[in-house]
Amino acid sequence: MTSGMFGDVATSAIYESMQGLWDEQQSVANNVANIDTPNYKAKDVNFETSLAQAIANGDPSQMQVTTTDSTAPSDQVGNNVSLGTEMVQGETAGMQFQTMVDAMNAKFQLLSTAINGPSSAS
Amino acid sequence: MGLFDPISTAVTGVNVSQTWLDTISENIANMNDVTSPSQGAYQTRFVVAAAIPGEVEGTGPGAQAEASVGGGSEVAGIALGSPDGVLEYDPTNPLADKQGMVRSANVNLGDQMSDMMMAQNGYEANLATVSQAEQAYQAALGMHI
Repeated sequence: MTSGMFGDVATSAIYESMQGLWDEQQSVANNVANIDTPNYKAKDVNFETSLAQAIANGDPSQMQVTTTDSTAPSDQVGNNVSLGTEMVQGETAGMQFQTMVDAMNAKFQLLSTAINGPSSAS
Repeated sequence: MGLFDPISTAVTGVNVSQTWLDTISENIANMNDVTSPSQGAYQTRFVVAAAIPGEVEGTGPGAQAEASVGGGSEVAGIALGSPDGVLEYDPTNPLADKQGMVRSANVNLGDQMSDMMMAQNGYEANLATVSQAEQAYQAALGMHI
């Protein structure tokens, strides 16, 4: 439980979403590493549905990351990794991660303003 | 979750591509090998790639999911092609038998060249995921109050 430090749902939700996006990056790296592995099926990571549910319940740390095998058609060696899909997914996850970092910085900024007053806001 | 997991995962892919390229160069370097018919010809080398299963770290709810993502790929072994080669008539060759036959390697250059392109593409694709992960690290390192 990491939201204890700030205690609010928003910070915890941002943190959990960064965890999920990180797993997504890991999955992209793993799928690309196995682009020529026979009988390998690409893995899809999903955390958004679970995170939305967890936020609705008021405790984002309940989020669970799930991984499923892609059902895309396989090539002649039984591999179904699509390099284009993976590159787009990696880039998207990266941009979403950046957005979450910006959101976390905004939360820190609010905290900083509350502690030091508006003058320290840079 | 290890700190630099996506990058180390991408490196496993780079290593597989590298081994594949090494194997292809070996095959092409040996494509003109000749032996006497009583011996086996050069056997084409094939890289056998396999996925590395993820390791379960910790006991949190995310631990199992992370384990199923996987930890990249590895070279499970090198498979050898047929030692039959191709029998050729070359009576001036000192290795030729009484009928003037020699056994030469049966490396398919077309296969090797297309494999080389796939290995090169795999190498580049893995490096692309390294830079994607690196951007995310840079973003995380930029967090500040």
